[in-house]
Amino acid sequence: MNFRIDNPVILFGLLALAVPLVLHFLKRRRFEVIDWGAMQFLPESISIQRRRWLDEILLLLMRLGMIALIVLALATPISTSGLLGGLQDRSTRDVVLVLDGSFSMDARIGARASPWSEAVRAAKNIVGQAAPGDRFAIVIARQPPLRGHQEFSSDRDEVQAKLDQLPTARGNPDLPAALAEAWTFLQSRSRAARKEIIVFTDKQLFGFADPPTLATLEMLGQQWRADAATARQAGDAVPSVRLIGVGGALPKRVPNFSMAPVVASRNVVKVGQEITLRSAVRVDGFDKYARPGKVTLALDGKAVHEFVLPDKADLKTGQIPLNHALRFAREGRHVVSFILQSEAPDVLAADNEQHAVVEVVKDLRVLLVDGDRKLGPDSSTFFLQRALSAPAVGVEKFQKNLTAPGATSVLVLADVPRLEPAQNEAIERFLAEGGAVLIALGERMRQTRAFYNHQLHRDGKGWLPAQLLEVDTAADGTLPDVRSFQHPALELFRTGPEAGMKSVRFEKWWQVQIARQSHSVPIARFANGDPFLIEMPYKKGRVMLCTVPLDRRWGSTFPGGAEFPVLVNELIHYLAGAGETRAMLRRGEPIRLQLADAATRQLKIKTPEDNLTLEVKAWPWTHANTGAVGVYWVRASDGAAWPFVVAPDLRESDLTPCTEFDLRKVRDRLPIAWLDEESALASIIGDDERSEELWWLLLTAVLGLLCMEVWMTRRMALARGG
Amino acid sequence: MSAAASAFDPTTLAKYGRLSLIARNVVEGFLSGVHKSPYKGFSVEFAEHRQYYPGDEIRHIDWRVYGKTDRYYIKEHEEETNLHAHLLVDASGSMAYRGANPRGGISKFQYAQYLAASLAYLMLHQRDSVGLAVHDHQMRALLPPRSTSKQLMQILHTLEKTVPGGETNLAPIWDRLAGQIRARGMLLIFSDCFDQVSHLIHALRHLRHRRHEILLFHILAPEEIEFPFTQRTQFRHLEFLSQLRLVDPVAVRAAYLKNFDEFRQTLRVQASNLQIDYHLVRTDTPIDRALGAYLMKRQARRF
Repeated sequence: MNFRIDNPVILFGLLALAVPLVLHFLKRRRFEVIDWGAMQFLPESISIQRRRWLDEILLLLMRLGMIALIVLALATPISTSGLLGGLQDRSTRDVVLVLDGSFSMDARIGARASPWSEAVRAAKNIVGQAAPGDRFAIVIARQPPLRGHQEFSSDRDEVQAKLDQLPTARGNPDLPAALAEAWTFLQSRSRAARKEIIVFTDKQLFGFADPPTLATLEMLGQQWRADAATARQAGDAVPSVRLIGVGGALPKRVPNFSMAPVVASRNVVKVGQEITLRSAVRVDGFDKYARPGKVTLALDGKAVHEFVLPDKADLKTGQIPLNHALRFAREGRHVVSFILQSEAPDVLAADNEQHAVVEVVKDLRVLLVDGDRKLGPDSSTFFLQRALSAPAVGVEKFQKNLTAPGATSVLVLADVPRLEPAQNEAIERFLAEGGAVLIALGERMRQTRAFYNHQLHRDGKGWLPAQLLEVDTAADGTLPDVRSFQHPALELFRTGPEAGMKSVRFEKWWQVQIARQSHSVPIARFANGDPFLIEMPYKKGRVMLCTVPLDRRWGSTFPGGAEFPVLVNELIHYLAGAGETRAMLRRGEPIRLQLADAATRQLKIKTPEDNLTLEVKAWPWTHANTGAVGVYWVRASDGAAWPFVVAPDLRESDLTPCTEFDLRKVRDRLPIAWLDEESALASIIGDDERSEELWWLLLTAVLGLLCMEVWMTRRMALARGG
Repeated sequence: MSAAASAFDPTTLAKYGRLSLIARNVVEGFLSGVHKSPYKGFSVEFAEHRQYYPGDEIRHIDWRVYGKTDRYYIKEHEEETNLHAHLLVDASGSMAYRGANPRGGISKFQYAQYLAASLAYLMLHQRDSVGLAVHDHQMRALLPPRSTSKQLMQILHTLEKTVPGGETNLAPIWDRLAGQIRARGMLLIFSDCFDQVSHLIHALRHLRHRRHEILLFHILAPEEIEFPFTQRTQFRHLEFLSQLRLVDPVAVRAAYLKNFDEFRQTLRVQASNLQIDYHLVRTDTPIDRALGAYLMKRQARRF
């Protein structure tokens, strides 16, 4: 409805329209009869009379119009349409609908509709009830946020159709990012008098009021307050945020099965090499254990193994671990999937699959760089060469191999005393392009410690993960603490028999210091607590620092033991995979692909939601819409395929609802209002501020008509007088 | 309006009723204001005595009779009048128009009656011979000019009994009259001239060709000149009663006035070209003005 009348009784005043009508027709019916002699001078033409008649009709219409407009104005008409917004320079209201696209919104609790379908229904309802001039845009809150519209749309049917076509909720939560997106969109694209963000969300704690999200909301709130102050100064509207809870109250405990993330013992393996894949079925919210159904292990979508789940399980541990060893026959990237087909009641479906990407290679492209000028049995790389079956080069020769594209994926610097500036630059570039470096410290660094600290560490800004302090010694040596081996690359040692590692002794080792702001993490320590292995991401690459030499110097027993080749292989495989293989996408990371064959112009992409064919405009090619959890297959026209995986964040499986206290914490950080659907709808429809009173418009029209009437009457009077 | 003027106001005159009284009232009142007797051209052949009226010349008093009777008598002689006047009165339907107030006003025909009667009275008193032709599209009455005292009564009677009506078709009648009136004389035409101007001029030219002097009294109602109507009006033709026209006067006023003024101006100019004395006479103007116009003409003829 575009208009409404506040005082409809006054419309009876329209009966007054009859007065000028009756007068007009009475006047027309009444005429004098005159006996007349001078008939010959009366003009024959009736066009003059017709014009006069037309004038009279026009005059009558004007008078009728004036009466009708005055009556209408008195009846207080109100426009609820935005059509009159056209009278102003800007539209009356722009709304961004933010739909929580996290996969918890797809929860099926009993016979209830899912919160997602409730959110879509509520959003459609609000769009349908809003005034036609209101403009809408849609943002789906997930990682990364998905924008439904490039521009605001005032076509309600189109917006509703768009809402219907939205993919169902199967993303990881990121409400702050979606709010920021909506805010930016409103501030950059809208000049409306009123700006609103309406968020439809279930009332799940995680992703809304959990500590990390609150921290993000805190920063967002600060940004908004600054933006709002600027907007007020500029006379622009400040967006308001309303949250609408959908899907009813969440029960405290909901029965849900989910798959734990897949852990591969290594992400890069050689053809035929065996790896162990681990996952688990997590059992939450069940009072009594029920067998979840079956779990299938699939390789590239084809089932290769089926796990038999136990009939009984201990609910206290909450999970049923699953392991499987697998060998790969073909090179390339492969997806291994643990898929739970649930037979028992299961609230969330999106967390029933977990995937991992394993890169299978013919050879590991390892470049061993030795600190010795002459390679021999005493060289720093002697044991590494044997363990990895890879050749080594002297320090002055490695630069050429490093810069050749695709030749090297892991660079090992074994007790290299110093690097030339050009070499350092080459390593920086190598890391920037996703390469990985393993540095084994040693005796030679004693002389060049300053070089390492000043040139390579640079107070945590360089690519060396830690600052070198002193070489520490212990008379009876120290051994690695296997309990500190929590890194996936060291899993074999954590879970295997400890005897091997127990026999390892290091008499000397480098004491290092990790800068406070650094991203370096010790992934293995000695028994005395000093770091053994330190890992640090650097640009797109990864650097690992080993605080002991990987040779027999310093009386180390390690290289001679059986564990040495295993550890070195694991580390190298990890580095080869972790640095380059960005197939496991995290926190809304886009798919990024760089092909050696730059001639490819078209790529097909199969996402968990749809199949697309996309043009490649530039290399490296990126695809930002990675909001749905699952596997993304990118295929070139020659059949080559690259899988990418967005894993479900299992914290999202925890459907714990927000409490009032949680909400207050959110409100302290962001200016938001929490409403139910009805009150949100009422605030939109019954908002007097947004409806336009039309009396002034009608009275302006009356004034216009009055001027015309006076002019016309005067013209006719002049004609009469003349 | 002055007292003198009001005495000649046509509406006031109408109250006197009979035409003889009106004519006498008008003429005598008018002449008393003029203070100059129009009587001239007495012949030597005695005819009769008559009582002296103020305005008669003293030299025409018969002092001999005065000696006998101690009263003033004028010695009248059988006069050979030098003027044959014809009063042509249009009695067509259009002359019956009484103006916007049909009850209060007098019609154009009545005005013509008064004027013709007054002029007849005046002329007969001046011993001019006066004839009368009353017509619409055909001749209704025709009195040949005579200067006898009976003639006045006949004229007045004829005028009185005439009721306007019938179609205006002046030109053929005037044409015919031009053929009938042999003696050269004065023609006084009383008409609204609602006919084709070209036809009228043609007829007038014919009359002028016969050497008649013509006074055209164009008698019009003020409403016909000004067209003051404002309300929607149905105009009914006075001559063809079935002819009705419902018009918005405001809309047609300009066009009417243009047509009418054009007609009047054409008639005036054409008449002037034919040396015809054209006098526009509104029925709301005193009759003596028309008499004055006649006398001017008469005197011009004498001198």
